[in-house]
Amino acid sequence: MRYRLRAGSFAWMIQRISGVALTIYIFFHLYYLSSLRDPVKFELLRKLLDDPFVKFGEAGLLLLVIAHSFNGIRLILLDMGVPTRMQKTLFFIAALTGGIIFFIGSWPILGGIL
Amino acid sequence: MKTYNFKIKRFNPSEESSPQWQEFSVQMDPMERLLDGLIKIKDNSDGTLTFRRSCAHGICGSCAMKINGKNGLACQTLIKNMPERITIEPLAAYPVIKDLVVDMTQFFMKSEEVLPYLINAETPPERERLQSKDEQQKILESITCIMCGSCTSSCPTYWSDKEYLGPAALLKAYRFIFDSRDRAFDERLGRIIHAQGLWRCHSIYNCVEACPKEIDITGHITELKRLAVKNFFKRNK
Ligand code: FES
Repeated sequence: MRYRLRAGSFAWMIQRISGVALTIYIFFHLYYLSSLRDPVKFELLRKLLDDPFVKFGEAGLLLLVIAHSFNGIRLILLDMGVPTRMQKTLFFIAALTGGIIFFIGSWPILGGIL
Repeated sequence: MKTYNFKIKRFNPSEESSPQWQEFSVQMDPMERLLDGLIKIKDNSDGTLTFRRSCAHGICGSCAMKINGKNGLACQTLIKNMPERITIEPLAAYPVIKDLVVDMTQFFMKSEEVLPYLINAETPPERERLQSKDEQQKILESITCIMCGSCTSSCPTYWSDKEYLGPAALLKAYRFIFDSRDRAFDERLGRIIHAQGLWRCHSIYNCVEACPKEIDITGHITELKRLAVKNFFKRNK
């Protein structure tokens, strides 16, 4: 169903996609954690983290978490009574601060390989 | 006079299997509205072009359609504000009857679900049931809805779930729930608090963008959500 894309619907799509992606991720995360009791398996999985692809994946994960949480805060504010005329401004504020935090946060992850 | 190109999505489901685009060149005066262009096409070029219109003054809600990708009223769209190429489609998410005319039965049934009329069994006063200025203010914006269907048709949630009440019906519920003269508060609230009602709204704000009467629909729905939560806690105290 084609409809002109606006800040509101764009934000909603980001929220949906990042939400589903993070739900899938949480299973991998739990699987990784379950290896904590097994030193051999743990070491094997830990080595994976040195792979540059996995590092990019980690940066991507950070992006997903930031996008989902910042837009989540925007939605909570709107639900609590911030007027509708602020919804786009809030979206841009969330995108901007999220972008800055992503930049700062991904540096230690990617700094070694870039 | 300036020439405009109208690209219209045409479809006659009883005779064709898929919609087709047809283009028309129309001479328009800057003071005219999009609806005038459609009428010109029907009068001069193709009498089979089908669309709804009634008041031609933005008050009946008949002429809602998707204009350049955005829902709006043809009779309220000034041609001087439009680019030279205008794409016109029927409202999305409703079944097409012919060309720009869609079947709005489902849409009106959703409103029916929230009991869109005053319920008050108390003996009416000799004259009208009075409201204070503040009480009137509370529902003033929601009363301006003309039920054109632009909002519900712009809602991605409604596209994926036709059982969802949709913004128009929820706004209608607001209009009576917050009306100081109405007495069916609990019943009406009960009719919208379910997975396919109030909680299906994901604050996408397409309805606010679409509404030709500039009603802050999502804001009203949010207020209903807050009321529902407050009510829940009050009951379980
Ligand atoms: S014809 Fe009545 S709203 Fe456009």
